Amino acid sequence: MLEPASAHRIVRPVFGSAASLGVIGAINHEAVEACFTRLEEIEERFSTYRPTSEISRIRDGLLHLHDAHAETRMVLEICDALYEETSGLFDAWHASMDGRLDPSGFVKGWAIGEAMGVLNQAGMVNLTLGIGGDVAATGGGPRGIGWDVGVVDPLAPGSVMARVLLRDAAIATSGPTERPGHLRDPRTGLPSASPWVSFSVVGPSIARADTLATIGYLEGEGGLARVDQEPGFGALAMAYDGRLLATEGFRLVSI
Amino acid sequence: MPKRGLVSLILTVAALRLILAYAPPDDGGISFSPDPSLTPDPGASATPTPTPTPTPTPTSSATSGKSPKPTNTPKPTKTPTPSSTPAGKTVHNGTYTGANVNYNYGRMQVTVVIANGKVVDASVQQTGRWSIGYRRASCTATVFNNAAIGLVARKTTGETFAGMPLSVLPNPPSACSGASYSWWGYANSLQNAIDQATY
Repeated sequence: MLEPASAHRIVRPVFGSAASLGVIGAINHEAVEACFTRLEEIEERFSTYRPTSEISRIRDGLLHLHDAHAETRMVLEICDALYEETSGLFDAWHASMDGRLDPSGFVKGWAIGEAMGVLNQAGMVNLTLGIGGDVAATGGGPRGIGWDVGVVDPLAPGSVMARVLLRDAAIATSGPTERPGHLRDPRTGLPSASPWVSFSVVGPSIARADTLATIGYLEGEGGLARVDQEPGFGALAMAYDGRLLATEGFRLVSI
Repeated sequence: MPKRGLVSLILTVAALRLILAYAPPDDGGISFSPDPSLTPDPGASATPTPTPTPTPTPTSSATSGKSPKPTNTPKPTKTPTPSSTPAGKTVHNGTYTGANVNYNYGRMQVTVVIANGKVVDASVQQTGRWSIGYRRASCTATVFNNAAIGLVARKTTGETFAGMPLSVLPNPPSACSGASYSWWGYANSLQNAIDQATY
């Protein structure tokens, strides 16, 4: 049995939200620093709120894509592939509320995965890292059977509507509660008229889970079927009328 | 789920004030803290509490929607000396209800109980028009506190909020997905309640 003293919570503001790192076992302080440095590097490069970021400068016509950092180009290429995959539903180039470049729908989840990678490679393996409601978990958690993660009921602050057990897996949630007016439907140019008040995706990759949560939310009723087609992934969605729907992949990890 | 013993984590208000007064560098600071939600077996003996807990019957209902039940505030046996409170101000025992703040789907209000100079309990009450079921367990402690314990800089004003260790519900999850937005409403109301206690 792990001693309570070996459980730690480390929090730092990042991405206009709070990064919350849960650790079971020894803390490698250098690795933790490197993890948050990596997050800061990503924020500096991809933030749509910082006018100096490469994304802001590309958006504002001050930086040509070819002159951008290789990582920026890679992320935007992935976004382009997602555009093709979703027939334009995931459109980073017109995702901001004023219809301009905003790859955040991919970047946040991917960034969590990057930061977790830094820690894992440094030998810290029993971890959970959450930023802005998206959570990745590696290792067995406090009891060795996985990390117990709640899915927040968006209509009742502080309560959960489901719980999942994650081991080397992740969960991401999209919805209007993330940030007011955060999700724009590129098909209409308006704030999304999705029937979902919350759309969560579980699966083995935080980057993919976050992306699928955004897509599933925007897609509306068809979002559940889309996630269900993806091996290893599952979805839980709550509609404004209170309906709570889950795919088989979600029920498998639900506790 | 099996019920587990309540875990209380007590933070002196003086320490909280210190945190609140701390102006983080632009990139924030890292806080290291033991986390009850990560504890394998939060039995009474294994409580990762930094200080012994003269807890005045924590209101076990941190569940939202329920009216926070103010517990009997025990008489302090010795008055704490909150060295880090603002000049000339002290933290007073009692139950304080923070501002009724808006969030996306209604309004919420946080109530804190302070005894012996320590925050011993806090609860959130939804005061808006939304009221829907599906409350299998409360994420209050995890989402609003453990998951966000420490510092969050409000960069526009330079203010900071302190995550508040609370008496948590049995068997809280280790993390929560969603609800980052309503956290801000919670933090605002909480801050307001703490301010009321400090005069």
